[in-house]
Amino acid sequence: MQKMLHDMVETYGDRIYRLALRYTCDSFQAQDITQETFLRAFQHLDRFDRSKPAGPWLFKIATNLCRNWMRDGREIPVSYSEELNQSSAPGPEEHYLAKEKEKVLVDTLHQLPVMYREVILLKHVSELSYFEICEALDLELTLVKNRLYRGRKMLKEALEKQERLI
Amino acid sequence: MKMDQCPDVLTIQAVLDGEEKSEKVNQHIQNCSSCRQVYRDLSGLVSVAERLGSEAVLPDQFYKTLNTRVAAKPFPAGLVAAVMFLFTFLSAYIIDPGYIQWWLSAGMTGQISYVLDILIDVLFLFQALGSFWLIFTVTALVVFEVLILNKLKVAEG
Repeated sequence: MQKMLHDMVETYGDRIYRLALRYTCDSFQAQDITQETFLRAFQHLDRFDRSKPAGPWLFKIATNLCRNWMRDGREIPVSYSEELNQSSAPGPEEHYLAKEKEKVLVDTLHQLPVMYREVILLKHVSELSYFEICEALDLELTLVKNRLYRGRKMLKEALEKQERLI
Repeated sequence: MKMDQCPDVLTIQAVLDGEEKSEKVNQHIQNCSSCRQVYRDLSGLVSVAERLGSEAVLPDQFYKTLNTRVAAKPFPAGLVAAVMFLFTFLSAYIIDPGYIQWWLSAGMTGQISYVLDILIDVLFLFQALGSFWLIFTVTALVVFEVLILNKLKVAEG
């Protein structure tokens, strides 16, 4: 059991953490959600069909925890975590600009309706396939494709609007 | 074999996402100018969303902390059940010392009490609920049990 948990953390840990980090913009909250995801998975391993990959099941738990976190009315911190993107530009000015651009992008993402935001995050942050997103969100394939298309479109349009304002 | 009709935007999106591997569709997109335009537009949408990608990794101590939580002792259900039983028993004794004697000797009352106690034990054994709800449910059942016993005590004289 412990070995299975270890393998799950090795394979999916970072991707679940990134997902939670994009939801909460807070590394402590994101770690907490990731811990809770694996803890719940461990407690309910008997419900998990071991012939299937664990990914969609884990992301389903993580997404539900993120939804609960949002439902509790938690606010996204003003200062973004340093960990959001560790590949920022090296110079202080570039670093600042990169962080500002990232902040605008994440702010814009959080303005999208949850149903679009979720598929975008699972696709681009957690790097799930269409099939895995379907499993994680209990959605039909057509719906996932549609939400991904509309979500991406809305994100780009909203971002362009934001950048024009700035 | 060529495609007669242009694929819809969702199919072109699937090609871009590496989810649609059909040779026919791929070839069509390469040879059709309007589909190529759709593909380019979609690439623009994807590149914006891809900026959300992150390289953040979990801190080193993550697995150690998780392991500590996983290995933590389970909720001391047995101990709590024993304390609750003792509490009910002593409360009954304080209210009326004869109650215990009556409780042990009552026929019908004893059976109902037995069924409810089994239910409580099952809840504890399986720990199907979180700690808070477990305590809440068991407390509610104990209160319910005491109320029923009280009613029956009156009914049985």
